[in-house]
Amino acid sequence: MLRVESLSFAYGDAQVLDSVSLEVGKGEIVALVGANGAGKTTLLRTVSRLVKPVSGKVTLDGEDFSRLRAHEVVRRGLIHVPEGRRIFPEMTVRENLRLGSFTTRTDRERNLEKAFALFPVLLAREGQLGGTLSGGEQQMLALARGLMANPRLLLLDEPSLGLAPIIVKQIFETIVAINQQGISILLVEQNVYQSLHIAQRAYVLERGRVVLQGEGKALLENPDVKKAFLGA
Amino acid sequence: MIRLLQAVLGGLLTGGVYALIGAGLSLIFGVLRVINFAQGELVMLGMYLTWLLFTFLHLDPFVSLIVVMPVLWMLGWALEALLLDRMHGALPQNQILLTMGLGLVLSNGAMMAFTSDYRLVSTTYSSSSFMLAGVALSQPLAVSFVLTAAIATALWVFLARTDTGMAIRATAQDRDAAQLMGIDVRRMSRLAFGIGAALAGAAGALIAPTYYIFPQVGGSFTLKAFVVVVLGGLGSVVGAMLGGLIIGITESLSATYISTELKDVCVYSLFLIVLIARPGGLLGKAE
Amino acid sequence: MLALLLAAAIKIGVINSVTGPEAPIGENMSHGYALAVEDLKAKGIEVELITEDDAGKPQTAMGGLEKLVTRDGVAGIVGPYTSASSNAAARLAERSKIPLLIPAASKDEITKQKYKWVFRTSAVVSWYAQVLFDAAAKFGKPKSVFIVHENTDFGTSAARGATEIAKQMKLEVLGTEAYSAGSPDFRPTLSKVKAANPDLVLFVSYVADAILLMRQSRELGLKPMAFLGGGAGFTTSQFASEKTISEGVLSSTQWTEDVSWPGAGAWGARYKKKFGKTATYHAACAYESLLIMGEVAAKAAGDHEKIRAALHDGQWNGILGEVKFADFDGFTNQNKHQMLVVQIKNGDFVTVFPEEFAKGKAVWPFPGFK
Repeated sequence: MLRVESLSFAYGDAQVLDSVSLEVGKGEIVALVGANGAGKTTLLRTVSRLVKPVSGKVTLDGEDFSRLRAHEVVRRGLIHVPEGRRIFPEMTVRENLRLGSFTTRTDRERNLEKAFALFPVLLAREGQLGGTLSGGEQQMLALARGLMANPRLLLLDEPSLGLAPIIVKQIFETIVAINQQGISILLVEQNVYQSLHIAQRAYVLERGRVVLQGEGKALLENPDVKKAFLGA
Repeated sequence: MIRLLQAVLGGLLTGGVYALIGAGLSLIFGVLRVINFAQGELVMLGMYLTWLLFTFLHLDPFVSLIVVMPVLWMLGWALEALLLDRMHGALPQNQILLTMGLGLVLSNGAMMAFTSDYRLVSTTYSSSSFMLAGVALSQPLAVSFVLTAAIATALWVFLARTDTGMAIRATAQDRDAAQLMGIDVRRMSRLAFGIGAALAGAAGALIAPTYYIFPQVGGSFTLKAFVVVVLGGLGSVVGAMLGGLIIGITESLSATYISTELKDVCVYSLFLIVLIARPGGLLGKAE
Repeated sequence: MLALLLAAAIKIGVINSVTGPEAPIGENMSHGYALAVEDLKAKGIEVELITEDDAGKPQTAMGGLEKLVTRDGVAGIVGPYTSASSNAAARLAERSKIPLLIPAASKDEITKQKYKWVFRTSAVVSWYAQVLFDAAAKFGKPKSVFIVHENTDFGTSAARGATEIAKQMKLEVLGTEAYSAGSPDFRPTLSKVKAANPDLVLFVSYVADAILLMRQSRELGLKPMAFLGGGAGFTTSQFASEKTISEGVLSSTQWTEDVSWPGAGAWGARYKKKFGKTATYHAACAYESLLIMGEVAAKAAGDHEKIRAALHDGQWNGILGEVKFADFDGFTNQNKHQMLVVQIKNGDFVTVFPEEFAKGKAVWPFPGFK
């Protein structure tokens, strides 16, 4: 459903993305892995139109994104859950979720119930300010907030970053659960092992280029991947 | 005791107007990250509009709010769309120059249109008062305070309870994240600037019956609004309201108990003390 | 060749508050200057007026004076308006040896510094209070006064003068409060006045604050024997037209239209016809000053020293009455201008003191606000 074709991006002279092409099919979990600074976050920001590419094309179900602005992409069901959660710290949990459904007001109550069912801890904290939540709770809030917008495709940027191992496990289980509801996922992660484990397919990004791609489990066995990311 | 009460109540009533101007400035800063140095000139425009409506259509200044606020709102919207929108992401000093320049254009434009004569909106109640527990309360100031409170409450309900109001706050807190919620942040900037301008215009209409109007009147309001906003915490609307009332009461108390001449010294001393103790302002975060 | 020389306009510099908070008064003065240029022309004196705007700021006034002297080579300068600007300009004029005729600034000190090159047409500010207290003493038996003044050169020096005169006249000064112009709230100051309960309240302020002071006095219910206005803001037609607050206020002024000085009435009528506004004392002072400077400069053919001597030795009689720049009581080149007291009755100024100029009888004491 998502096609990224020869996407390039540069900050001044620094080439961050160099003709990147990738695809996410309907119902898939696709992982995008790579070292720090490989361009993963920039790729997601370009796809969700927070920044504009130098060249290349992004389409969702055939619709070209090049004339859209970031908030218009949301209405098409592509939801980007950014790095560092970026929840609204001075708003309550409930207000954050309400903003998540800014474009889907009619489904607000139903989606809220679903979100609280998936993350019961948020219900317990619903009146608390976002900034006072723990890191894991903030990540859950960020995911729940993304789900409020009726996503068809979720872009997840480093959802496990800085979290305790037990919480990381929980987050990955949740991602799988979300995917099982029929929502496609493009997952950017530093936790290469876990993400390749749950992904159907994966791309390896190195200095702005796709250097490897294939099935998730197959890449786990790839000697280069093992050497670079899995410390073997 | 009567004197203390007179000073506190008088300061509260004057502070209400500062609060309104400050709230607009703070809202604009929160969403656009631009200090609008033309805020006082927007107050000035509100005053002239009130004066025009009063002089030619005999519209009561308090009633004229229903015209002044929408007109200033549209003006603010247009100014954002035509000027500030292009400056988004530009160097802060350039944005400051833009709003300062805008202020100069507005005040000199007003001078061309209205000359530099002082204009007065002299209503039948401009110098009336009523007695409350031995305190003489200015009638127009009391009415203006009630209206200020109503406008402030409406603003609060809008920002806290409505989707659009929340979207404005979200844009202020995290512009990128707001876009990812499907919020058109450029539209929110326009809306915020429009509301800020409408609040400034409302303040202008509210003080018109008790003050006087001339093209340069805005400068002192910009300065005062800036003090109010920094005192309350940049970007915090509630902080600005609080700041306005505190400045009003401080002015009044220091004029009553110290000296009229040292009033501003007292206000700025308080300002400095608060900033030393809380660098982010009363309700702001230290960055 | 001779004809050419005669036809060449004589250059005279004007420094005025064209913009800035004092602009409304500056505008009145500009009108006065314009009429003077017309009348000089009628006398066969072509004047080229070069105006510098000081926006009421001393620094700008000094810069303007420097430009007029070095760039334009003017014969003499009339202005500036405010006391602060005039005081700064006077020092520089003395150093540059350029004749400076100050039309309406009233701070005493300006002509108390032994300057040879600085002249002043208008009365000084301490006489404002003198004539008001004289009038009050004649109309009633006031025992005390409270002074509220703007903290500018003009206001402070008026208040200082008033305090001294009050002492001489055995009036008890119950308090003196300075305020900075443009404050929307005078209520704390005025409630002090109310608590002190003085017989006389003396306000010294520029245009708009006069209105606010009186409005808020009404709000707080002040009721002294008389409200005295120390010139400036209390002598504008705009103040007078605010009838609920202006009725009965006494003010000192340098000039009125109904005064018996030669040509005053006709000049006032001409002014009103041309500019659609009632002439103020600022306009009259500006007019008379430029008229004098123009005549003297033409006769001296622009020679600075000759102009200075002619101003020092001359004598004139016009819409401001007799004008003579004399040295007395520590003043140098100061015109001993007769101050008048007017009372506002139903929106109009009526001269009520001194008796020889009075056109009506004073209402005394202040009957209270309507």
